[in-house]
Amino acid sequence: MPPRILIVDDEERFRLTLSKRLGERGLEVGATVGTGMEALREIREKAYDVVVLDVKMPGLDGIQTLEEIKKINPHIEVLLLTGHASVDAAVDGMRLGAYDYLMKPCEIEVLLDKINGAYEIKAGREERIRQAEMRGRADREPA
Amino acid sequence: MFLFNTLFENVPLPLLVTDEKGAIIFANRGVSRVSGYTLEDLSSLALSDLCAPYERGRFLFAHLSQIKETTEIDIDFQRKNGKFFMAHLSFSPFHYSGRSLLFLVLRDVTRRRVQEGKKREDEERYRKLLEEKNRLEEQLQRSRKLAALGELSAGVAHEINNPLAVITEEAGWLQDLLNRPEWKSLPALADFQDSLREILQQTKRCREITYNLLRLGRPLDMQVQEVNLRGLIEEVVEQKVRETQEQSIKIQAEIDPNLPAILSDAILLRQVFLNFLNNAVDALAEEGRITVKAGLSPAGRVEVAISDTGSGIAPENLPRIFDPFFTTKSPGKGTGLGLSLSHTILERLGGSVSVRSRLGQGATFTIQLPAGEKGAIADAPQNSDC
Repeated sequence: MPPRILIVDDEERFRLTLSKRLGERGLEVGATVGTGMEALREIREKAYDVVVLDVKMPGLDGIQTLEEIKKINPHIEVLLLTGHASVDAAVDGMRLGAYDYLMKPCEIEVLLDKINGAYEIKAGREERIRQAEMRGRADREPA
Repeated sequence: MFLFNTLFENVPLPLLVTDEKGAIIFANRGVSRVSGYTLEDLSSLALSDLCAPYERGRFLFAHLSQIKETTEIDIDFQRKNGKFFMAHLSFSPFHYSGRSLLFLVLRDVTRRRVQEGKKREDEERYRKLLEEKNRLEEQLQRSRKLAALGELSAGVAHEINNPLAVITEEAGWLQDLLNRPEWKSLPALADFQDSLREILQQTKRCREITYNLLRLGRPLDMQVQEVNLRGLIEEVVEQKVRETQEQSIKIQAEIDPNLPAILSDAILLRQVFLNFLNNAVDALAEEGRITVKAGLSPAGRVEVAISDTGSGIAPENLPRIFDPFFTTKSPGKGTGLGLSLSHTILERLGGSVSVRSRLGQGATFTIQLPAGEKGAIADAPQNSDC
């Protein structure tokens, strides 16, 4: 099953075209939104695997949005898109649990690799949790 | 006459009378006091005997008879005890009883001359301090100008990056569409693909420019560690030698074997050296010589001078050489950001760069870096704004 993606960027044309290009490569872009608040609403209401998140946005910025996303669902992986190569912003983001960061504009293939990498991590972690839960259930059940 | 003799003999000012060959006819107590000779000694001496040995061959002593009006000179005298002193002598010719004589007034000016010398030294020191102050002021002005320009450039670059991202995605989307099977039969498919490739190529070029511009205005992420400068310079020079194999360009490194390792950022320094070497290669066109000299300055800083035998820099261009976008290269050959970025990087590494050049006689860029102390590296404020 392909990862389900949420794209968050205040540049409408960017997020729409990016969505089409990721779709062209077999990914499922569940939604594209223009603000951090809309992103949080999406996360609460629907299931997503990876969020592609712009750092600089009016209102709730990317870093604040990341913090809130992790509070709602810590398993969702987040890829940050930064307007410039500030490693500091990236380090801040990574400390808050972002998977990686990319500088805009970025190569679609590079973005694709990162999304797949993030999804593998998430899927692997969920699988381990699932197996642990199964083991726990089996232990509790009478022989 | 008795009165005048008494005055002449006793006045503290050293006074002499000689004949036109310099033989002392009369000397007063003042001369005896400053020279250490007795009046009796003096009566058998010549003027030149009172002088320092190296003064005795003076042209004037052989031509005293030709002095027709009061003449003043500075001359070194030697006392009877062998010690030297500086004297100011005035010669006034006069006639007495049919003889041509000279009346001399001697002043010991040693103290005054020493003070004047000291004053000259002070003035020289002051002049140097003033020059240094002006140089620092100029450097400060340049840094302020570059900081303001850098900030402005970074702001512009950041705003450009967003539309650039949109252009990249749109062109990429068109490429995606053209790759679909149903578009394969499009009549001018190759032309479309070629154009899109070019659009993406040029967007990439813009991205590199904005990337450099952003680095101009933002704090750099530095990884300070011990850097083997010798190895780094040799590596960069070797790289440029390989790249210029096809041209008649000779690049050589002269590195002081005692060059110490320094605390700095190797990646940033590498970029700086490459920028200056690229600039030197461009200045040479197809042939010439580039020399990279590295050693310690008299002030104990590490100094790397990159000289080329190229076309040189016009004097009116020298003050602008580190300004962003300033370039004399033809379009497409350079953005005018390399030297500006290098200047910014060096400042943040606690270093500096200066340039010397004359049109037609090449140029020398001299980089100075702190030799070892970590604290010397600028602690730039960090900024995580995106």
